[in-house]
Amino acid sequence: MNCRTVQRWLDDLADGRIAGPQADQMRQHIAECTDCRVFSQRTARVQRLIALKRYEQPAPNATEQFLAEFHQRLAAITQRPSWGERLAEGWTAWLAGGWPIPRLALAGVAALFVVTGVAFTVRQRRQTAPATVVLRTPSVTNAPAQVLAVAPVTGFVPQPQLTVAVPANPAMAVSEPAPVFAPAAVRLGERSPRYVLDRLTITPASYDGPNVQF
Amino acid sequence: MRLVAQIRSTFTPPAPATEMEPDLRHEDDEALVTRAQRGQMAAFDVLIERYHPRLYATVYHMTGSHEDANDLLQDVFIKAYRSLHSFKGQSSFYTWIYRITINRTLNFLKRHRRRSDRQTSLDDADRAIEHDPDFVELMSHDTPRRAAGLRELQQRLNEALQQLSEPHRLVVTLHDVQGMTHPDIAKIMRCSEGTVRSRLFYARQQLQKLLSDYV
Repeated sequence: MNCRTVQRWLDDLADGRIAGPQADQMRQHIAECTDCRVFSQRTARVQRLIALKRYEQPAPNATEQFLAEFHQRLAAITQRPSWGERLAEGWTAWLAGGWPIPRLALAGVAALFVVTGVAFTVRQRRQTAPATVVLRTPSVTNAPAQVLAVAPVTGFVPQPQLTVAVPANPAMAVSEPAPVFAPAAVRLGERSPRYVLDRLTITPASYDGPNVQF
Repeated sequence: MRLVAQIRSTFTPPAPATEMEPDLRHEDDEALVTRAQRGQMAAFDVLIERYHPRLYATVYHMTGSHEDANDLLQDVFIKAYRSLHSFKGQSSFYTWIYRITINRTLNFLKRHRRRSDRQTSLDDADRAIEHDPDFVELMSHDTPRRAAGLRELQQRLNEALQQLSEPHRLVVTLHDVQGMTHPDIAKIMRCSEGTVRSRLFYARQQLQKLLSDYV
């Protein structure tokens, strides 16, 4: 048993949480080790000193005063009108008040603003074209680019249409079924690795070449 | 206006108990909490009466100020009352309220760490301390400390405690002043008993240096 252990477990020894051979070992160590004995005595003295702070007590009627103040504070907090209450109160007061402008007309204008805003937002959302991914042959030769496949994509797409050019290989375009793929960029909640196309059966000569356009 | 009045009446708390029901004082915490959860304010008042002195002492020894201790404890009991519905009884009410108190106190101390006017009033000590055997023994030695009276001792103790870090001060307060056991402190502070033991060890090492005149 070393000094560090003994000094940390002094409380447990004093409180009787350590008993039997372990307690005997500790006592023997303290009796033989000057450092631990001095530490133990000084710790006991510090403890007795600090314990004197228990005499610092609040006033005798402190709890009664505390209770009275508690009820006052609680009542003040719970009776304070919330935002909803204040809004309802303001609205009611306004409807009941004597404004020179007809109140219903003002309310109608406010409602019109709200309805217009909502309608505008809905229209904007509907006008957004569904996202698609277009796979086409590159236009490196004189032949016009040939569209191999168009796939609708759901979820977040950084741009409405992604165009991916693959190497010109008519034979492959005819013999291979139209590749169905979704770029990793369209997966929800993921960072898009560059030039990675999932489930693409055609391997471009080089992903970094000019033929790949995102 | 009727709508507002209706809303207000819904949220108005039950009237404070003017007269405490005598039998409530004999009920255990669990029963009192259940009553308070059902809206019986008198039951919560009994819980306040039961734990106010101990919690007050903890906060007071941590902050060193009666005003701060009172304000903090008001906040603690208001928070406890308002979130009483979320108390499921997984721990005892005592542990739950102690945790709220300690969290609030530590947050407060973090915010006000640099405040310099946090000094304990020197007239706080109960005169009973003068009859305490430890105090009498301390003062009876033929050393410079003999001249030091109650005030100086109290000042030195407070200064020494305030120089400890908050976690160390807390374990010393809970263990050496309030007499809590290591397992109880660990439960309240949500740490292991080893951590409590270690903090006490370092705190006492520091206190031995800070109070070297007395030990």
